Formats: sequence, C-alpha cells, structure tokens
Amino acid sequence: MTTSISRPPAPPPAGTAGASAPTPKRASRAPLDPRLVREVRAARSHVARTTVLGLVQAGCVITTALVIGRLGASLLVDRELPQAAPALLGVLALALAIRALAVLVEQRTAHRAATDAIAQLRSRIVSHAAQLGPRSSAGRGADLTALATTGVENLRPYLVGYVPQLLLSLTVTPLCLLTIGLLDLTSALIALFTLPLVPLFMILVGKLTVGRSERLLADMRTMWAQMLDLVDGLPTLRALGREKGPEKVVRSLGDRHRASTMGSLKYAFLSGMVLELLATLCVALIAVSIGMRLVYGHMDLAPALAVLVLAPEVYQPLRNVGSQYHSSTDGLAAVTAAFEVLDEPVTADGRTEAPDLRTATLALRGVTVASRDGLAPYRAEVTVRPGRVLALTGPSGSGKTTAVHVMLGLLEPAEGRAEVIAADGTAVDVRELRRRSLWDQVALLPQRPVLPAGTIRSVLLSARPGTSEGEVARAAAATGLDAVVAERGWDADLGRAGAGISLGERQRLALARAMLSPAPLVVLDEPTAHLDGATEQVVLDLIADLRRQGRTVVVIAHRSRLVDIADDVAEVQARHTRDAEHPAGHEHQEVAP
Amino acid sequence: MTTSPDLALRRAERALEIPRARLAAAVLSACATLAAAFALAAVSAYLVTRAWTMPPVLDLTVAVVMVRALGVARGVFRWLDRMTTHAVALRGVVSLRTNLFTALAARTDDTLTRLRRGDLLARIGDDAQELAAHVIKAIVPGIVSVVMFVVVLATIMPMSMLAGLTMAASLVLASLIAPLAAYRASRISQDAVVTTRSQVSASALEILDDATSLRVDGRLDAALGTLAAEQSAHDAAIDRAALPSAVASAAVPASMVLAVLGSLLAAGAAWLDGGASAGQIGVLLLLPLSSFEAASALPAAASQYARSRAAAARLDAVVRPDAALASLEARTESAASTELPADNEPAVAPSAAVPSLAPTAHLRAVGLTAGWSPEAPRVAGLDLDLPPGSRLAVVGASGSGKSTLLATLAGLLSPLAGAVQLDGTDIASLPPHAVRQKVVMFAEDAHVFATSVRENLRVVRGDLDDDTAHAALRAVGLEDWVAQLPRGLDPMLGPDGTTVSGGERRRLLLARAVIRGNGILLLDEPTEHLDPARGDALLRSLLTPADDTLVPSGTTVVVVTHRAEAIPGHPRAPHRTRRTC
Repeated sequence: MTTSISRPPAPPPAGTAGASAPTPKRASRAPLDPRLVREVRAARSHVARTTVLGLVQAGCVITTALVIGRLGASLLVDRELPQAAPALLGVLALALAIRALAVLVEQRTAHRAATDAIAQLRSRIVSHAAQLGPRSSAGRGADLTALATTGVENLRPYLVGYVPQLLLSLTVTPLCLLTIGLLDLTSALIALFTLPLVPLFMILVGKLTVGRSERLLADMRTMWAQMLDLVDGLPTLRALGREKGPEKVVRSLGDRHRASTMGSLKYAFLSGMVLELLATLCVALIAVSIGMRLVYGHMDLAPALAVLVLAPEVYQPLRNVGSQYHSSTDGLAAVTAAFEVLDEPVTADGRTEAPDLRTATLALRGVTVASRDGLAPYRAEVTVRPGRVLALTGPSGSGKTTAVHVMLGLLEPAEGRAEVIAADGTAVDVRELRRRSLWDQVALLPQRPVLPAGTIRSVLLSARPGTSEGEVARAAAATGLDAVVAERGWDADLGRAGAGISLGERQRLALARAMLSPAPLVVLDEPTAHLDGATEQVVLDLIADLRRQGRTVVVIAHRSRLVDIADDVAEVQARHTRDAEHPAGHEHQEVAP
Repeated sequence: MTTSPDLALRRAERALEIPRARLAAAVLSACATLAAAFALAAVSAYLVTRAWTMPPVLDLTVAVVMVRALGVARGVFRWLDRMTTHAVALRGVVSLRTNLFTALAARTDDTLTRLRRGDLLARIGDDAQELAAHVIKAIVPGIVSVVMFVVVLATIMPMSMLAGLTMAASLVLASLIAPLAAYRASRISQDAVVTTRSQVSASALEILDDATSLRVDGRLDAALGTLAAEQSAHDAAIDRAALPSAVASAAVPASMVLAVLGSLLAAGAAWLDGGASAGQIGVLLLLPLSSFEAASALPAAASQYARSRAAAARLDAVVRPDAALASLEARTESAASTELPADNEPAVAPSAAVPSLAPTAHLRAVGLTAGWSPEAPRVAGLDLDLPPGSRLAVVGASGSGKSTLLATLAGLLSPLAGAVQLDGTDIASLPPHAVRQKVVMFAEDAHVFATSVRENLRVVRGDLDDDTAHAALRAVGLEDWVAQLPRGLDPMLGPDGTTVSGGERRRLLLARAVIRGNGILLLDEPTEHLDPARGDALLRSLLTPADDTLVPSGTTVVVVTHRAEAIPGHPRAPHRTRRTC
C-alpha cells in the first residue's frame, strides 16, 4: 500500500515509482551499509534496538497465533468459552498490546536515530569537506552541497522505513516459519518451497524490465525536456503575443509522456504482482492442504488454526521490504556518497612554526596543479618579497587563485613546491609549517567573498574578536565602504547570502573586513571585480597605503591599473590537455527518431 | 492575496479533470485487491473449521476452488489496481499541467515576467507531481478505506452483532487516530523543513562555499559551532514529529486488540447458542486479523494530504484564482476538439491566432518610473516620445535598468509610476493582445526552442513561408550557417539553443525581429556575442532612420546596447538614452 509516485528528479515523473522492487537487487550493495552501522553510533544502536524489538514482535505474533488456535479449538471441540480460560485470554490481549507497543517504541526511536544520524553525518561531511580545502569543491561542488543539505535527509526514510522492515524479515519471517514447522511440517514445506521463488521471480521480472525501462526512460526524458522547453519559452511567446496555442502541445506531449510511462509501469508493476501472488498463493495452498487433512482427521484443529494465522505473517515483512525499495536505494546512495567524501584524506598539518612574514619571502618553485581540463598553473615560478606589491596575472583559468592556495599551504601541488624563506635564508616547505602560525599572519580577500547574515556593523565586528568601533570606521573609510554606510546606514540588513546589497557593495564590505586584520601579508583575489572606476581608485590607494605600512601585498589582477601599481609582476600559465573544441553542452539531442 | 490551502487543493483537484468513471475503475480495482485478501482470509478460515466437522469432501469443493482462485486473484488485481490508479493520476497531471500552462499564458499582469525560471519549473514539475501522488496515495486509498469499512462490517454483522460492533469500533478508532497523528507529524516536519532546516542548509552552504577563507581567518570552528547549534534546533523541531508519527504506525495494531478479543468472545457466545456453524466460527476467530489492510494505508494518505495541500497552495500562489478558473472554463469547451497531429516536430505556435501586423503606432512614455520592486526603481521619471519610424538607442552600464525599461515599454511589466501610451491610450488599459499587435519586445534571454529553425521563426508569424525566412536569415548574416546545416531549415536545435553558438543564437533572435518587421520593435542587446564589425553594421542599420535593409523604414525601433560607438552620428556617451532621429 505504499505506492509512491513522488520521485522528484525530473525525467520520469511517475517514475517506476511504486513498483515494489522493480529491478534485481544490485549485488554490489548490501542492504545495510556496514560502515554506517560501524561508524554512526545512532545507526548502530538503532539496528540493535530494532533487532530486539523485531524479536519481541515475532514473539507476540507467534503467541497470538498459538493462543487463538488453542482458544478456538477448545471452543469448537470442547465447547469451552474463551472466558473460561482468562489466563489465556489475558496472554492474548497482552501479546497484541505488546506488539502495538513495540511498533510504537520502534518508530519513536527510529525517528530519533534518523535525526541523530543525519545530524552526525552532515556535520562530519561539512567539517571534513571544509578541511579538504579548495579541492573538495573543485570536482563536485554541486554534488557536495546537495549531499550536505538534502542528500543526507534520505537517511530518514531509509532508517525509519526500510531498515526496520528488513530486520523484521530477518526475525519474524524465520521464527514464524520455524513455528509453523513445529506445528505442521507439510505447511512449513509449502512455505519453504514458495519463499525462494520470490527472489527467483524478482530476478526474472527484473531481466524482463531492464531493457524496456531504460529505453522508455530515455524516451520520457526527451519528452520531459520538450515540455520544459515550452514552459521555459512561455515568457518569450508571451512577449511575442503568441502564448495561445502551445498549451495544445503541452497536452499532447503530456499524453505521449503518460502513454510511455504507463508502458514501462506495465512491466515494473509485474514484480509487485509476483510478490503478492506468491504470498497469497502460499497461504491458499496451506489452507487447502490443512483443510484436506482435517477432513480425514489427520490433523488437530488447534495447530491448524495457528498455522493459518502464521502463514501470512511469513510474507508480510518481505512485502513491506519490497514497497520500501526506493527508500533503500536513495538512503544507501546518500550513505555511499557521504563516506566517499569522508574517505578523502585531509592534508596533514606541519609542526614547524612559520617564520615572521614581515621579513620572510614566499616562493613557488615549478608548481603544477592538475585541474579539470589540464594543468593550471603549469610550472609556476613566483617570488613574493616582503614589503612589496606583487601582481599575479594570467588569462582566466590559468590557475592564479590555485597558485595562491598552494602558496598558503591550502592545496598540495602535483609537482614543485611552495617555500617560505626566512630572513636568515633558511627555506621551509610550506607543508611542514603549522598552518595556523602561517595563516595568523595572512589577510585574505577571496574571489567570491561570502558574507554571513547580519548587518554591515555585525559582519565587521564579528570578523575579528576584539575589534573596536573606531577600527571598523577606519577600515570602512579606507575601502570606500563609508559611501555605502552613508547611504544605507551601519545597520542595513544584508539578508541571507547578501541578497540585500549589490555585488559592488558586497565587494567593498568584504574588503573592509579583510582590512581589519593587521596581518603582514595581504592577499587580494581580484579586489576590483564589480567595482566602477571611482571605487577602483579607492582600492588602488588602499594598496599604496598598505605598501607604505611596509606590508606585503599579493594581488591577483585582470585589470591593467592594478598591474601598473605593482612592484613586481608574475605571470602564471596553464597547459590544457585538450583544446576547447568541445564547448560545454555541445551534444546533439535527437528530439524524434 | 492568499487562499486557504483547502480551497487551493480543491481547485487543484478540479484542474486534474479526473473523469468519475476512471476514478471509479481505479477505486474498484483497488477494492478488489483488498477484498481478495479479505475473502481469502475468510474463506480459508471457513474451509479449515468446516473441514474439522469432517463433511463429505464434495461439500468442500467450492471453498477449495475459491481459496485457490483468490490466492491467484489478489496478485492480478494488485497489478490492475496499480495500473488503473497510475493511469488516472498521470492523466490528471497532464490536465493539470495543461491548465497551469494555459492559466499562466492567460495572465494579464506581469506574473510571468516576474516569476523566476526555477520557480516556474518547480511548480509545473514537482508540485504537479505531488498532486499525482495525491490521487495515488490519498484520494484512492481514502475512498477504498470507506468501501472496505462497509465490506468488513457487512461480512461480520450477519454472523454476530457483537463482533460487528467491536470491529466497527476498532476500525473507527484506527481510521481516526492513525491519519490524524500522521497528518500532525507531516505538518510538523514540513514546518521544520521550511524554518529550521533551511537555516541549517544555508549555514552548511556558507561553510562549503567559503571554507578557504574561513580556515585562513580562523573562523571555521565558530562557523561549525553555529551550524551545530542550528542543527540541534532543527533536531528539536523535527523530533516533535516523531511521537505522532509513531502513534500513527501503532494505532492499527493497537485497535486490533479490541477487534480480536471482541470477535473471540462473540464467537464463543454464537457457538454455544448454536446460532452459527463451525465454518462461521472459524471466520469470526480469524478474520479480525485481516480486516485492517485498508485502514493501514490511511497514515500515508494523511501525510500525502498534508503535502498535497502545501503543493496546491504553492500552485495557487502562482496561478491566482481568477485566471485559473477562467482558463479552466474556457478550456473545457475546446478540450474535446483538441487533436494534435503526432508530429515529430513540435509546432510551437500553431498557425491559428496570428496577431495581425498593425501599422506602426505612436509610443510615448510619460513620467515613467520602472523597476521590479518599488524600493528599487531602475528608471525614474522618464519621458519619451517615439512617433512612427523613430529609432532610439538605450545605452548604459549593465544593471542600470535598460532591460527593465524595455519590458515596461512593451507592457510586460507594470510601471511603478507614470504611464506608457500607445497612440494616446494608456497601455495598461489595452488588452494584451492589442498591445502585442503594436509593440513587441525581443528579450536578450529570449528562448530558442528545441525544434527546427523554421519553427523558431514561425514563433513570430505562423504564416511564414520559406522565402521570407531565408530573406530574414540572409539579412542577419545567418544564410551561410543555415546552408551548412544538414537539412536547411528543418534540423532540430538543442534545448534552449545549446547547439547553436552565442552569436548564431543572437542572430536567430534578431531574425525573429526582422520577420516581425513592422510595428514597434524593442530589441535587447541584439548584437552581443557578434564580432564587432558585423554587430556594429547591424546596429547601424537598425538605428539609422529610414534605413530599410532590416526593417521597413516606418518601423519604430528601440535598441538596448552597450556599443555606444556603433550608434550612428553620436560620440561615446554612456548612461543615457539616445535618440537617433
């Protein structure tokens, strides 16, 4: 009864959903992830508790069956009213009540366990990914954020819905089968004979479905894309005054889509049919076999009734597991993705204290970093001398930001090394430094600064502990933020993700935040992006001012004005393995055969 | 203006246009599935206890055959049930999407222009899907549980009044407590998702986006601390849903206690009275355990109901009542006659309803203030006077409100203050169709449909012939491109022009304007992504008064561009509108 149709990802909306167990189980994946049980305490205790509660439920089911059999038999055979055996009646009531209670406790604790497991995994993923540094977002930025926000939530239906039923099928099913065997061997043999048919038929149905559903899935994707194309184009059609008419196309596409979906569901639902068929057929065969033996007096009534109660219970957990199939695949996918992130080793911290950056030189020696489409930077040679302004230039995608990441020990290069050379000439590889001691001497303005929610004042005051209002005002004046403050006030709400202010204003605020730090090395990653000419001048003055203070500045620059004021200029280059002859998304989509 | 979610849900259910007969068929097959299981339990209980009285075997034949038949029937009914229910739901979604599309297209205000693309897709995709689930998980099981309630009582009542009454009581108990608790749990978790969980997600995103500077600045631990605190707040909020949700699961087994015991006692009384046969006693003993299948689907139905309400409310917010209903009524008449050729090449705009191309009108803006929100007007107090044949360039830095101005002039966005007039009439008082006959905006991000080049041009004029199409493509410099395409005007373009380059796409959009020809044409950055020489030549021809190489000389053209140097006869002077006539 747990037909589910709401499978969000666009292409197959009705998606095979509801098909109890549409495809053969993927052999590579255990239904219960061993690492989840091993490493997430909430999951571990959940499994243990659910197993115990499963045994309790099995006990209750068996007791119920035996007592009903006994009471029924003594009523029919001995004409003894159930009231005459109050103890048995009490046991029956108790068994039924305990079963309900066990379900209550199991579901209540399952939710708690899911909440804890999700919280634990999310915090581990986020903090681990943050430790991984820029690399973690390089390969799979969107995937990672999707995993940390909504992906891990898939654990809830998995832990609350699927895992308990899976464990019930490992407790209730065999125990009921055993009891049937003790009561009546023939019935147990019938059940034993039909049970293995379940996976067998599932595999056969899966084989039948697989090619078909893939083809239909591709077909549906195309139609879904066409539908979205029309929806996407609706504003255009409206602007042209041609918005009437395409709704007919929407309907006809929808109808084709529907026909195609039903075509694939026809086969997907076969698996549910097989499961139901085998379950009820088994009960029917047992009932007939018991009936035939009772007629000839080859069997007693009490065990006959008990077996009849127990027979459907053997299959019930299996049917539930089948209907929870999707929560299992989604949940397991989330678990696998989570552990893939957690398995990536974090760069080890060094032990050496960093030299004083007021006098030390930073250098990149032949640094090469592998990027998505080649090597960027490729054999970068950069020297940052103390008290000077260095402009780092190069075409977009040449690895300027990556070079700075390597210089600061945030990223390990594939080749070459980053060194910090103290005033006395001793060079240390940046990997051997205790990073904190290095970073405490660095003020960094990233390329895309992220601002926390709050006001201009709160963002600046929280940037460094112990910042005074006076320092904040000075930083604002130095970065042109004072103009923004004059217009909007110190308490202008930035909104979440900075929705409240423009890009240029955000840039100035981020710059002011970086300027609150007295650190000797200032790294500015494209500080004049999103700024107009007048504000650009403020940044140029600011850099000149930093130089006067004797601080070292590394500025990543596209614009020539930034390069003009630098003392030194270093250029980095990339080496692309393949040329850009395949622009992204350039694949021909066949709309119709 | 917000309507109540219940009203919204009823409206959405109506938009699904589910025929009663189909719904009845779905309910019937679902009932047959449950009834087959119920009957199997009853008949096999009857068979076993009847057999115990050792009647002649022939007396049992009917029961034996029935048991075997029912054993097979349930699986088959199950399949039928799923097929019919899904068919009804999917049909409903098609109607819902069509109605949504029609309603959106029929909006007379600027909803569509304001709606973000992601929102639109989420409404027409996910929320519509949620209403399909509403049919499958809520409507059908809800009706089925009522039918099965009657079936169960009608089976048990004739055998024993007492058993019937306890069964009725426990079924009512299960059918009330379980769905109510599930509904409450679903509401609590939905609330938690939009409040506390969105905070958790935002914090997690912030950390992942900004990890590098958080680490270097030494702020990472504080940020992780914030995340942990928000996570515990969310955990506390979501935990409130756990108990009702568990109660929903336990309600059915709990109600069973009453039904089983009542039935057992009733069986005792009936047997000693001699009022029941052994077979009937067997039924009374065992049937209560198999009578709750329909009721056990109700918790899922209730949580689906909560989700459907939310989805319907979101849909309603996009398609306000007036339009939704109006379009629904308009559509029901034409629905029957709507037949479409199963064409390989989706005709975007069938040739009906071609706006007749009106002669050029006089466009005027009076004290026009335009913008997306009153707090941030992008253009303030603008006066424009564009008699037929005017050519106007709008120049300015990106984000200075040029596109906003065009949308407002085209009547796609309501002015914040002031008015746009066509031949002296306020554009707001004209029907959209009449406005579109005279003024058309060609947006920078206009859509290129995933269909043929020809269809993409026919979007402007349904009666377009190939010669006109080729002439327009030649005028914008696309003739070589079309010539090298394998089938000329026929090949398919990828979704939203992904298989054409930026420059080709831009010229295709310009070709649409050329085909439109007369009237007032508002063009947003028509030459972006073109090589400067070619782009500037096109711009000059658009902006030179009385130049008719691209559009007839009497056509009014307003062009938004950042290529100030390409404007004929004017030195570079950004940030202002510039008249070239």
